[in-house]
Amino acid sequence: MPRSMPMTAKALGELFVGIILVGLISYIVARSALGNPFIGLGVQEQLSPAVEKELVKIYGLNESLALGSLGFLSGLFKGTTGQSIVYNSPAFSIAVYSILWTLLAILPGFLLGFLASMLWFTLYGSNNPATAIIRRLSFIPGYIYAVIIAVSSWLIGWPSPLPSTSTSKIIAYTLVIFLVAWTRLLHGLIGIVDDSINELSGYTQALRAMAYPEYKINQKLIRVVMPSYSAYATTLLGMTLERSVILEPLIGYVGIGMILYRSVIMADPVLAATAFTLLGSIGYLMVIIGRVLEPTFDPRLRG
Amino acid sequence: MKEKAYGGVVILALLTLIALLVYRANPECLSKYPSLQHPDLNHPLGTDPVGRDALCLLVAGLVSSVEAGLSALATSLLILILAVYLSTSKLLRGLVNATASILTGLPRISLLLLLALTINIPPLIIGVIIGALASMQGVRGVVARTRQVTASTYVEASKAIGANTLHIATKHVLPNTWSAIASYTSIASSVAVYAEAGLSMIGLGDPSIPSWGKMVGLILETPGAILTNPGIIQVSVPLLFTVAMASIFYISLLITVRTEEKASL
Repeated sequence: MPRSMPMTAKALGELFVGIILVGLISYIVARSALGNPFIGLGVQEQLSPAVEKELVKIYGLNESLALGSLGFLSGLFKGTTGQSIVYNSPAFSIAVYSILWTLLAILPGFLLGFLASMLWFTLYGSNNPATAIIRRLSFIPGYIYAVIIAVSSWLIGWPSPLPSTSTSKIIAYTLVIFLVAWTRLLHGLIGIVDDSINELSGYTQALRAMAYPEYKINQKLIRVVMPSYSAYATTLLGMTLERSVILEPLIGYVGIGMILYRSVIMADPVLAATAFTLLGSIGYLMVIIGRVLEPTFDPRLRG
Repeated sequence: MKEKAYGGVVILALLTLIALLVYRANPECLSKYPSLQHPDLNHPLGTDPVGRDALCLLVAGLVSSVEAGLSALATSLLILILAVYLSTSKLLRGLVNATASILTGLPRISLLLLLALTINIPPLIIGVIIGALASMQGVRGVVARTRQVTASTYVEASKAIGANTLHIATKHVLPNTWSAIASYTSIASSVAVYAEAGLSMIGLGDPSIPSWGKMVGLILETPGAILTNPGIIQVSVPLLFTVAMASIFYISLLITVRTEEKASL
């Protein structure tokens, strides 16, 4: 694949620049906004100046913004971004651990949504009235389903209202992601098929003339648009991960979204910057993979 | 059909005007009443956990929602039109595309969450940030369309008779990319409406500005509030309004453009 090699190099370059950009933004915003959380304590004499100075040094808040940014960026690639003030553990480990919990709920929901959208399209196609309703539902944001889950926690006690990563929380979160992903993926799939309809109309007419059943024709249409559809799904997965910031505090699920939210509320600059950077980097990665997938696998675009 | 298309925009403008008039005319409706009062004639949606009239809050929240949507719409429109003008020039096209590629992946909601630390972000700023970041995907689309249009024979002919880049962008490229611009702009504005509600739902944004998200968030945060009738009403009604508002932003501009396209055919 002669054409895809420079493209992959370009995509990797974009990814690198993206991660640096996200890292810089997050560190500068978090440091300037959250500042030094020990200053207040020192002034109120709850901490002696010597202890305060020592704490500031331990948590790496004594460096200038420029030096701190550089240290943060280099630490990012080594997995040592500093110590979380709230949890008193390495911020990078906390962020990675919580991302894994988020992925544990998001990936199955998304994968189910991906399969369900293809199954629905195969069975019912795009001209079914129920399909039209599902496409309308794709417009509903995930937090509305999350609010329904939060309400159900209070009304029927499922899942437990306490923040955790319990099985019931994972199921509830997976359900929310499935509902969002299924409708959006189906909407996207139909859109992609519609975009290619001019190229495909002769082919589908020929199949109909050969008495192919509709579901088989739909199956073949999916196969044709699969590279574009996979690229779309990958980008959507990155966006879904990013929306965990709103979904997790509502559901009470302790994943990366909740950790970022808490670090912001509890003024933990290192953890906030690390969580934001990791979340942003994965988002970037998904966008870049999506961008590379389509021209690499679509025979119409492949050089 | 065309009248129907403009209907959404007219309804939106009227609702905002009514909301502003009612809110400004009756500021005491946000004064304290007994908390979580059941709906009655004085308080059709009951009162919230802090003891404010929920209908009054709903009307006040409409202003925030419209503000977020309109500022996103304006920002997105400005960026996309600018992208058309810049990318008409071959020299700048690569730069515009590269910038958009880098900014497309920037996480929007998390960025707003981080920024909420530095300032009490009002709905207007949420709209501007979402409008700008959500337009980046659109910029790539618009640049691709611009490339197609500038390669067409009538643009070549226009160049041959001495037309400059500005003239080509205004007369040929912009009218042919308008449909794509409107489509991305309407998406950006509806995303901003959702983002404003979502962020205020988890307690971020300017606390002094009423918002539909804050109404829902307050009920969810107050232990037991959701088990009451006013609680259920004050969660479901603002959420319905948020979806309706986002739909109005999404549909009205899109339908308007499609109607224009059909009319021109």
